[in-house]
Amino acid sequence: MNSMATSEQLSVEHLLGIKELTAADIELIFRTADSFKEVLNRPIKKVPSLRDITIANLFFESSTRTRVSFELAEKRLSADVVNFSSSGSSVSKGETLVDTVNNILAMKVDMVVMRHPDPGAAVFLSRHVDARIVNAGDGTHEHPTQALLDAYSIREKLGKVKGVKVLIVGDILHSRVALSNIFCLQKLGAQVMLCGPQTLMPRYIDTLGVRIEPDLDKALKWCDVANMLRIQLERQGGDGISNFPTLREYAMRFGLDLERYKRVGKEVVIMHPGPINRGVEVSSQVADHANSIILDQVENGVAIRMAVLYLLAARIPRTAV
Amino acid sequence: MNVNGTQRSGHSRPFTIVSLVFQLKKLPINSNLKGSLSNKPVSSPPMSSIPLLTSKAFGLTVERLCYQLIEDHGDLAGVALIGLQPRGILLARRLRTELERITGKALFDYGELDITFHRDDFRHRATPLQPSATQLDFMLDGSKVVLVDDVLFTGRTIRAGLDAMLAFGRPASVQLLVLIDRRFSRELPIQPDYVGKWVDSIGDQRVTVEWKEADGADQVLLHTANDEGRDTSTLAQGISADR
Repeated sequence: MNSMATSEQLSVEHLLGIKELTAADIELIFRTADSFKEVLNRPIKKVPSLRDITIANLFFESSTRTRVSFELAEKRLSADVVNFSSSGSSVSKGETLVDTVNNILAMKVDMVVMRHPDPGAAVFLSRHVDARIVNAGDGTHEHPTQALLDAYSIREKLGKVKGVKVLIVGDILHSRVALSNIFCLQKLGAQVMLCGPQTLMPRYIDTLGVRIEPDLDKALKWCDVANMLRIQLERQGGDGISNFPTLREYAMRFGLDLERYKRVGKEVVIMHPGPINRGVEVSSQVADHANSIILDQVENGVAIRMAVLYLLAARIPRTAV
Repeated sequence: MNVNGTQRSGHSRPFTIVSLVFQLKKLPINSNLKGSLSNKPVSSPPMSSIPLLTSKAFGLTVERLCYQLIEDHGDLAGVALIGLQPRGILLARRLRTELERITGKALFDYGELDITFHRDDFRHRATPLQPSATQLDFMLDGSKVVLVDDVLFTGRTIRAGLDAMLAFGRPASVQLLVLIDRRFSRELPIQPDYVGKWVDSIGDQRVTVEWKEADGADQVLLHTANDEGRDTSTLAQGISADR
């Protein structure tokens, strides 16, 4: 039994992507999340740690789950929260991102949680404004808290991440979840395989050290965990060319229904970052299957985000009064 | 717990009769401890350690605390024993075992509480403390809570413990039990109800409680940095008494 109170901190000041984190950072976030998960099961699910911190949630792109999850995490840490979404704001009047954020920071905000449609927006912001930035998804680049909660859910379900074979299926090209997941799982020692239509597979993705298997049945036989990504309908055909003929054809080749799941012949853990297009990526029977941890992912999301915010806030120096 | 400064057994009487019997030597208040007996080698800078409680006295003190609890609470019905993480749980676990041995039954609730997120020094420290596990699977509504910690020093841990505890309901009463009370070091108006031993120590002395289970032996040590190069930051690993 180790009863010594230890103290550690993250190696980063912002959470911009998994790429910048070390394996030790990820383990620290997981251990802290374990404690927050216990807090979330208490009758009073709130701790006072961040009561002197103000957090702005800036969502320049639509989101339900991530925004609600972050907001709950912030409130359960007792932070003050302001929400901002781009619709109906000065962004539509032509204000730049840095100006928008600096105006919000002038109201004494310590941390910014931002989702933005442009890759690199979080990195850009961290260089130009004086606040701690948490990337809640930047275009097709990274979505670090999603990858953390995915790996955390695998650790919870299987007891470890190291050595686990994880299959990521679907729209790899447009998916920030896929990229962050690859970085996160590899740092923790898991093996990653990708499966999806050739048109949705980025060129040179194999340079990241992942396997690629175009046949879903073969890929499922290999894996312990299958993460079925959402088909991002809003990002398809932006150049006037569709990446796959029809949703029905996608579902037939890359969707997971109960019949295909039974054919695998082993207990593959099913994940989905949501929102689910039922009948496309996964059928209802698979989404609600006993081996599906889709709702555990959502539950763990709050604990993971509490851990990230807590550990980043710990690095904000106190200002003299 | 009594927060008014008055105490069940009286503030003016420094040692209970039992602890007086086992008080091995007069406690130093501000004496130079250089060269006094040291039974645990501590790495540089030079530090002298003297035992305040050795194994036998330690066991008797824990046993006395159990009998005091039984004296006050009878068959312990409705009592919830809650150890504070990280070091108070070692005393709480020992008390639970002893109480079950003495009474021959387990009539009380038992829990372990981590107070990290309720501390008042978040962002005052260079790095945040890592939380430990909380295991408290019952509601405290109407319970007679006994909070248990190894060393009562500034009182800040107990303040955080009270705050953390309230997330589990509204107890009927709360008492505080500590093995060591460093009573001249209080920063908050918090006083214990049950005390194993009082220690009158000065600021840069440290008291550590070691446990057979975790550290190899049951003992309480008082550490004093020698005059040259006073630095109390390099205590033996695994021992955190008064953080």
